[in-house]
This record gives sequence, C-alpha cells and structure tokens, in this order.
Amino acid sequence: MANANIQITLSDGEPMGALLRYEPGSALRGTVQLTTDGAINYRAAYIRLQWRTEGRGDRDQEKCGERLLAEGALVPNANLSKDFNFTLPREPWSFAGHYINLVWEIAVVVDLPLARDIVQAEQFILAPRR
Amino acid sequence: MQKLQQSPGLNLARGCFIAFAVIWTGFSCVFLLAGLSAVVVAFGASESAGPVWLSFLFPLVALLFVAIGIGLFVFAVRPLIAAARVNKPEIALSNATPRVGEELTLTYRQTFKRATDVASIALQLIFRESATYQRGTDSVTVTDDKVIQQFDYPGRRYEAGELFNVRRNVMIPDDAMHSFAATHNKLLWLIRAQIKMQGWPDFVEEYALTVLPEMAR
Repeated sequence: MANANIQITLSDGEPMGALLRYEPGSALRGTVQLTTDGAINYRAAYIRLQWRTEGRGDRDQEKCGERLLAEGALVPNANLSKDFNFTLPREPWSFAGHYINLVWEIAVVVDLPLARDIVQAEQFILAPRR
Repeated sequence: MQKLQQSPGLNLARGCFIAFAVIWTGFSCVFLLAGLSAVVVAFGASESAGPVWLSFLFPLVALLFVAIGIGLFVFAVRPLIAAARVNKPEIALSNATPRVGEELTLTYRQTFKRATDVASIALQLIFRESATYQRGTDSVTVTDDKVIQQFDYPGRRYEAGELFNVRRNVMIPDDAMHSFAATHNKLLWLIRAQIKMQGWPDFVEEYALTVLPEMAR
C-alpha cells in the first residue's frame, strides 16, 4: 500500500520546551501538508482538534473540532496543503501528573476503507501564561 | 462564606466495605454452622468414616473465615465509631468555586459530643489524581494525593459540647490544575479534616471544592 507523509505545522504559539503553548480561548492556526508516494483510495482526510488522557487510567478523549482536508482518491505523488484555524476551548488545560497526563493535539486522520486509518498528530499545550 | 458538601466518594467506599464485610461474615457463619453440624453427626455415628479430628477441620477453617469477617467489619465501622465522639463539622470557604491562584478563607467548626483526649487535628488542602482502568473483568482505581497546604493543631482535652473553631487562609497555587472529571480520569480538589483521638479511631472526612479553569490574576 502507498504511504502518506503528513506534516503538521502550528503557528503563533509560545515555545514551551519542545511544544507550543496557546492561551485557552485563543486561535490555533497552522498548515497541514500531505504527500503520497503512490495512489491511496480513502474515504476522507480530516484535521481534528482533540484532547486525550494518557497514563494509568483507561483513555478518555474528546474531539473539539474538525475540518475536512480532502476526500476521494489521492493520485500518486499527490501534494495537498491546507491551512486550518480553530478556536481553542477554555478547558481542559494540558496536564502532566503522577497517574494522569492530559494531552492536546492536532491530528490528521486519513480514513481508509477496510484498513487502519493513517494518523499523524502534533501536540501542543493549552494553558494560561503563569 | 459557602458551605462545602461532603465528598460522596469516601462514604460510598465505606458503605461498600461494610457491605462486603457483612456478606463475608454471613457466608462464613453458614459454613461454620454446616461444619459444626457435621461434627455432631460424626460424634453420633456408630461407625466413623475417618479419624474424629478430621471432622473438626472444616469448622475450624470456617471459624477462621468468620474471624476475618468480624475483623473486616470492625475495621469498616471504625469511622462510624469515631463519629460517635464528634459532631459533623461545618466547613465553609469564602468561595467554593475558586480560580487558580485565588486565596480563600477557610472556616472549620466542630463540636465534641463527649469529652475526648485529642492527639492532633489536621486540615489539609489536597489535589488528587484518580485513574480507573480495567484489569480483566475488574475495575481498578488508583489515586495519588498531593498535600498542597496543611494546618496542624496540637492535641488537648476537649470537653463535651466544646467547640473547635478555626479560620485560615488557603491558596490555590498559581501553577495548579483546575478540577477535571472524565469517565476514567479525575482531578479533584479536597479539604480533608483528620482528628486523631486517643483510644479511638481517627475521624477523617473529605469535602470537595471545584477549582475553575480560570486564572485569578
């Protein structure tokens, strides 16, 4: 099966370690680039704003926004680029604890029929400046 | 001032523990009675199927389970025993839904039902992580408590009807996380009161507050 190379670039955030920080309620802008090395037949590709938990407990997650990236078939050597813009919710804030981590991310999901979806995510921090 | 409500999780856990202890002891008593009946029958039989001491084995094991059940029950009702010495406290905060970085005033009032020698009293502001996961068919919850602030009061004798009344400032730290609750993962803020009484089980109660996802300043 052909591979899809997905690049997610976030803009305007404040660098905080390896990630960018955004204020709750602010705008999150960025660009997604999707390239393929062969033809991919897919139902649709989405850009999702979501949070999820990691750690000892079972996963909780919520999709807070979604944009359609593309749909139909991707021809070989396709090169898609799309800007996106989300208004971030005011909560929950990003968190790293003993048993629980709460992670925010922009995820690009390529929905494939009868196969595992192709997923690429870029994490960021949602928290106020302290 | 806004009164805080008792955290429901603690009472639910205590109730489940008592129910488990009662069921354990009940079933163990049934097996003990069955074993004792078998001993009576063995002694009354003209020909014994095996050594007489063997017929005591089952009721002895059942007696051990009964003893464990009674121990579990006593341990489970200890908070109720402790509550016989003190009345339910009145806990109030200047704001029961504070923001991150906010300073609050906490008042704690509690009267003693009977004369009690108190070893110590502690009031704590606690941030708790609670994570639930499936392990086979069992649901397991693990918690991690971080004591953010603690106020200790020395022990002394409190007479019946005497009031323990304190007022303190507590602070939700600037770098704290707000309250959060999802299906399997929770981040909770609590006020915990613990009274150690000489010769009596500790009195421990927890009261939940909701920290909002906003900065105080």
